[in-house]
Amino acid sequence: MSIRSAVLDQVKLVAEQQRKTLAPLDDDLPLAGSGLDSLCIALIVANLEDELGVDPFGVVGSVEMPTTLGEFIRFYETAPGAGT
Amino acid sequence: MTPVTFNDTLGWLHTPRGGVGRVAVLICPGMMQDALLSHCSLRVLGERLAEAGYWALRFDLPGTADSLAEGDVEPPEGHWQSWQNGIDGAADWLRETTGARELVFCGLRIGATLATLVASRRTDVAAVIQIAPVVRGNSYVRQLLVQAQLQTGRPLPADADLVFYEFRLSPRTLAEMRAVDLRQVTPRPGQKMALYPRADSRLIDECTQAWTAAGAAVTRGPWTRLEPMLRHNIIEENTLADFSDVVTWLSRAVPYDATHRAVTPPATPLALQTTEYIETPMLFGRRGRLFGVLCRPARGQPDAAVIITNAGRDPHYGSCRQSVTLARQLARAGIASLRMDFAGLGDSLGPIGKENFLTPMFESDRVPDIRGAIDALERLGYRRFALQGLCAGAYHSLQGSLHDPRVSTLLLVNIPLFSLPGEVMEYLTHRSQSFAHYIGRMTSLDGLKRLFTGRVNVLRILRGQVDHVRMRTAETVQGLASKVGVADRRTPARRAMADLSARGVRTLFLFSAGQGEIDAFAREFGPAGQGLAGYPGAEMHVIEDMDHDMSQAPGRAVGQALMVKFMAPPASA
Repeated sequence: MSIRSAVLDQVKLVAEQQRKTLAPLDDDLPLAGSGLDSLCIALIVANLEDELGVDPFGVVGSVEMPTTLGEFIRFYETAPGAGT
Repeated sequence: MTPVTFNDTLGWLHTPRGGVGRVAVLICPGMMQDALLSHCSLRVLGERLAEAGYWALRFDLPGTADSLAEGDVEPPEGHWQSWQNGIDGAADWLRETTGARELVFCGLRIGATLATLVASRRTDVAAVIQIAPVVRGNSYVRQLLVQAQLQTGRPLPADADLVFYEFRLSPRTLAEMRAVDLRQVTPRPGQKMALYPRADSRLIDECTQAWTAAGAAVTRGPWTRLEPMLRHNIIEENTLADFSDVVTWLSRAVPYDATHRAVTPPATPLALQTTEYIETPMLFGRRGRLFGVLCRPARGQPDAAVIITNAGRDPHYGSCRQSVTLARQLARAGIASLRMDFAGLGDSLGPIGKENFLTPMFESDRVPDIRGAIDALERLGYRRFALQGLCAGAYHSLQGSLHDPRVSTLLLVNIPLFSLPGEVMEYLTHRSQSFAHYIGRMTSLDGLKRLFTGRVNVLRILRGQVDHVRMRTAETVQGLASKVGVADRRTPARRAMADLSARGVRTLFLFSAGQGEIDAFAREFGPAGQGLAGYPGAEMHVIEDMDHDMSQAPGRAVGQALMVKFMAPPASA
């Protein structure tokens, strides 16, 4: 499974678990307008760490934070250890 | 179910029907939001287990809920070890008290993780039931860190304490939590493990494989009927979790043994005491179906008591234990309090036949519950009564004060409305989402603000504005009706304040900063409360650092200090 698919799967899963209505998922979708709240984002990050074994937020402070869904996906695709 | 105290903590013992029970189940709660959401469902679990012939104990981990320990103070052994010690101590107490020969641990989220760790070291735990367990501590800590950052809008410095909900978690505790990986925990050979994951995952598969290889009998059960443990809607009535699958599995895996004759649990002292306060669990109301914790100063006999009501539908201890910290601050100031659960919330039973439901947040009549609390306190000798509430709790406190003349003080935090509009949920969901308010929230996120900038849900906001207009239209119609002499000119809010003021009731309004918080109040009394001038005894404050739920410690401290000051007797008294 690609990192993109894994991220999108988690976004959909957490949104369903938290009863959030997602906007159509495309790369330009701002996370703020996606329908996800802070708990959802936190759960997605935790789940992705479990599924992908990467933790790009572990180096927070030295990275540009993602604004859109596309940036969020690339955040994981370019994280140290991604795809290994 | 019976409230019990032991090891500086509060618990509930569920006694098996028919007085049998060779097996006792220790229910290990989750923490923070997981604990708040699942509290009522775990009560149902305790009852279902008792009906099936098992003893069951629910209890508060050290530093959580009603326990004496403070979550924001690291114990010498560290929080992580302290929580495990708490489970060990509760397990020992449960065996000793009930005479049970075997234990089963049942945990939720991080409580399941802790339960599994402790069970792997004990020889008396026949089975572990894990509900949505946290498999890797590292990802759980990451979840907490991200959530804390998003809520505060500030990146957390490396190697700093994490202050989140009721906890101050030191780097040591965070490191110990991060190090946990259930795949590496070895169950005792023959131990039975039942996993109820919220979703399938690679980690759960690997847990199953690892534990099976270690000689444990591992079963995976369905999640569907457990969903209300971790999610329920905001305002409406909710069904609580259904534990049929869990109890069915347990009755096959570890039968309760009907031939065993259980001992009668000895009466245990109910009070938890420090040098500053004494806390006692209380059942009250009709048939003792309501619950609260009385907190009184360790010295002196106050005649005033504050009834602390549920904030939203959180249990009586409150999000971030805010009701506990307020109660203990009041006790230090010489004032007693009862932090209570309304019917169908926390540990209070709902209407007969509806015990498995969470009652609606607003559209429930809480006046009888408030009367029941005052009656109970009156029997204990208290003579002056205050009501405290946040959000829905503030609304119900106001209604309670209007219906019970014994109330002399109100402490109302972020009261969202003064009377119920027909579509309360729609109104509350959308009322605060004006563009300015929304954008204001966005730009306050500082270091992570870019994460939350961009497009907003215009449709939702517009719907909120429609509700807002509907409310204003209703007020206009009422005003016209009064002008032609067919209605009282005063709005419900102004009528309420006039009645309370005439009775000599003192009222403190506290609000978080932000238009949405103060909207309903400002329409009645002005954004700075200037309209309260006509109502002696009423005052209001806006607290800049306080959020709606009082979940941020700095704002909560300011708000609680103001409430204690408002309640404190004059220096000359």
